[in-house]
Amino acid sequence: MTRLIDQYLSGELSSDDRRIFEERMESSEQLRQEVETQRTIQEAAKRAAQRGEIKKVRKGYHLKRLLKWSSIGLSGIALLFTAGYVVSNSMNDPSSVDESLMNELNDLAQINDLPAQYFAIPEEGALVMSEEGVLISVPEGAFLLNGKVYKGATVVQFQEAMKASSIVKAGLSTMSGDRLLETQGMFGVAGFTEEGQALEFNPKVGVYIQVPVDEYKDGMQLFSGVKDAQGSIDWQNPVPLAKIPVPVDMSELDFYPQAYEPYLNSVQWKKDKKSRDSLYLSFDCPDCESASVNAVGIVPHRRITAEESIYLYGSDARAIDELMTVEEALQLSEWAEGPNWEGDFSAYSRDTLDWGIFDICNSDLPMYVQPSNVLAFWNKKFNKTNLSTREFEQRMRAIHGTCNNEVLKKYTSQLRKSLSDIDRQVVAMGYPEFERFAAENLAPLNPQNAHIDHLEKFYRTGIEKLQYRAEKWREKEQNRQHNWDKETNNQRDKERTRTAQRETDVLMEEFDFNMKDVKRQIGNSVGFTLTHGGGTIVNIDKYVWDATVSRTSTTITDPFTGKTAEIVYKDFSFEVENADKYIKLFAYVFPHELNSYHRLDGKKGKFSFPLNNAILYDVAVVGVKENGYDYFQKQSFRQGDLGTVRLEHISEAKMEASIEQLNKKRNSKAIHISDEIQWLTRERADYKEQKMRKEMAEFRSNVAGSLFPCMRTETLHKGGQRQ
Amino acid sequence: MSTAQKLNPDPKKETSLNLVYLSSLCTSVQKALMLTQNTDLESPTRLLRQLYAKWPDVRRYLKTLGCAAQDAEDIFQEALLVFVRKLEDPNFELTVEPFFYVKNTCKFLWYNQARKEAKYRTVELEEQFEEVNDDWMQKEMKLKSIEGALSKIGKQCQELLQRFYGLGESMSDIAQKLGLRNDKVAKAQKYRCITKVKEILQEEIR
Repeated sequence: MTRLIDQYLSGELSSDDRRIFEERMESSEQLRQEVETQRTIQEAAKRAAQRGEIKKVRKGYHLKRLLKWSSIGLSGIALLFTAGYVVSNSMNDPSSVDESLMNELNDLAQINDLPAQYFAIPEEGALVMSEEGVLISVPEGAFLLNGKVYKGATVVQFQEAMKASSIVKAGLSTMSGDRLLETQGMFGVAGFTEEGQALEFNPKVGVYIQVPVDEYKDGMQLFSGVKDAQGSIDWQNPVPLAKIPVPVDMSELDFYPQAYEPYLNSVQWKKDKKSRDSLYLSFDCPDCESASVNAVGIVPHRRITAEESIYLYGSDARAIDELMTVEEALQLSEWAEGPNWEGDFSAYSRDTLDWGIFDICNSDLPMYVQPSNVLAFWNKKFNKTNLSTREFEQRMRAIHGTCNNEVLKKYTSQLRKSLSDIDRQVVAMGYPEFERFAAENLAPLNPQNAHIDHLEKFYRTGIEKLQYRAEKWREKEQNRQHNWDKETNNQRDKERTRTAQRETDVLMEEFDFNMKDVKRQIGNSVGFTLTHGGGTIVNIDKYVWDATVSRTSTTITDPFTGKTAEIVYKDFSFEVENADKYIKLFAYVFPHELNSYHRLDGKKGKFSFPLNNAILYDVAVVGVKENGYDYFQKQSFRQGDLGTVRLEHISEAKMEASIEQLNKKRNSKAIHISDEIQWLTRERADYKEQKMRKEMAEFRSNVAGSLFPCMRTETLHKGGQRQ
Repeated sequence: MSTAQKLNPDPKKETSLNLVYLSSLCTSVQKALMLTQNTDLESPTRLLRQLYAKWPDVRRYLKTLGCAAQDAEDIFQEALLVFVRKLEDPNFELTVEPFFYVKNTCKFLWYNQARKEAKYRTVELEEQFEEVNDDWMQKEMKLKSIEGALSKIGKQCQELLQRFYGLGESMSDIAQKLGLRNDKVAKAQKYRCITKVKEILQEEIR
């Protein structure tokens, strides 16, 4: 039944079936209702599609800053930074320690029966690695000699028992008092001057040791070994472990949002980092940042939770100022209301805040970690800082997940602090997912590095430069598109004027031609009248005019002389093969005897146009396609059905030349056609341009989806319904 | 066209006939020119964009009427939809600024909704909206509820119906886009979809 009604509504029924159907409708109320319901459903489907259009406009409105400009010159990005400073923390060669000294020191070893390794550390400090992979960082001034900071080269003696077998071999106990300890390794460290004089650890600087473990166990602590009279060791004074992150070269780290590269790889986009950085930077949106700063960073100093936003809307009468200070609430209202806000502080009401919070929770302003803020530190300059570590790489993924630039800023503005200290700050901002990072209990990487102050400043100017660069590209591309559209519209305007002019010209010319022809046939009869039919008097001009306009054959009889004149139009038609594949398809018909010409649009590749039999014609058919032109021409004919015509590929220059030739050779005063050809080439270029823009917009919207996890990306059309 | 000639009833005007035809031709060319310029660049979308740019104004306005934040943009969109559809009506003549029309529709829609929610006593409402609250608007409201039923069928069904009835795409195009074997399959699917909507509507009535 549904099918039948649908066919009826779409007019697909044959006239007989239709009649029967309508008769049935007359007699059946139920059928009438069914038809009506189905008609309404069709209308509602149309309405839903229209709603989709409005959603698109909405999306465009909210995201215009970000996605309006759809493509950007993705080449020629110079990275902002040149080579960074060189750090001399190369691994030291243990063999450079004097052998006799080593023998001497072996007797002083902390742990008996455990071979010692020796490292020569220069005065400025160094980072070395033991045979078992333990990292030992000895900064400048790590040791004291007679209570004073020791300056000079150091020999570090290091013993390690990492594996159970070496622990047993060395006869080490794992007892603390009478408690048995689980161990992840034991080691002894001592420092000596080059002369073999023992040094003490400087408690203000210390030596950092990082032990590789297969598994991170919570609650592992560092115990100090105390030898008893028998020489066996009791482990005492446990302290929590702190780990120093391992610096890695920036070029080995990945700070992009997690889905970014997999997406680009899946569409086989350019692989080099320069291009990918550049594409990433093109999504920079300083406005979005300020919105997120104001809304989330400053007010109310933390993310508004889903729960909060729910009961703010609900009937729950709890006052908002339980959640935030009045001050914050006011800032929030101001932000929500924008610059037009009157600033009436007494009007602080639940309603205003409702709006403010609604805007933050539901705003389509994309909130995300700004690309400029990421790229500004992702370079060699920041090697050997907290940021150039695998540990920070992991955090960066989580930072992208917060979509809050303020979180990133916590890390980039406190390079001296340990990552774990900052993790705790982030947890306090309302991101409990950072607790697991805080628990890693990292130590600061190199708090003494005087370079860091400069780096923080450098970072800020770096962001500005990148933002400026992104803005410039954006402007450049917008200008280019604007100028392109302007020129295209300009050419279209000209084309319309020209076409109107040409159509008038060709009509008037043909009218004159026909007038002369008729006069030639019936003799000199200018201005006299003819009676026609029922005796009404008409002018000869009118007959000729009407015949010319309607392009139909007409016979005119002069009632005085009985002479007849004929204007004859004969059919001319053809069909273009595969007409669908053309962006534009035109036939230019050149009358030999007239100066102007006709341009035919055809219908789905079918052309028919009555030709004046007194005139000889040429035709040129041009099919504009994305990758060039197809062309066909035929000369000197008066009528006929050419059947199906196949256009052949032709170069632009050759097409231009052929049309010019056809146009000129017919008569000496033929009007110019070069403007027309110029317009045709423009239309083709514009088709490509628009296609490129569309593809670029789609691409960018997909990339945006991979870049910004918090951005809502509803697919167009499919999102036509209300959520 | 046939060869039957239109005859000039006034013989006195004969000599100037040529001129008359010429001038009428010129104006028609001019008209055609103006028309093509006006219809350039899918103007409804452009108008919609212009109207959407005034969203902050509408938002503030709705707020003064007591409309809650989370309803306002829905109402605005509904009003835009009503406006766009009204534009398609050949009998509709816009006597006011488009923005004014949309704003007024927003007001109507909001009161209508508020009344349903029984939050407001709206005694004077009926008169106030005579110009908007007509049969046509009632029909739109009914269509809106059917849209609700439409949104309950499968995504593919929704897309199919929207593409066919809304965007006027051909069955074979739709089949290709939705990954259906051919237009026949798409057509059969279309009937199934309509039947589904009808079932949902039936249930809602019960």
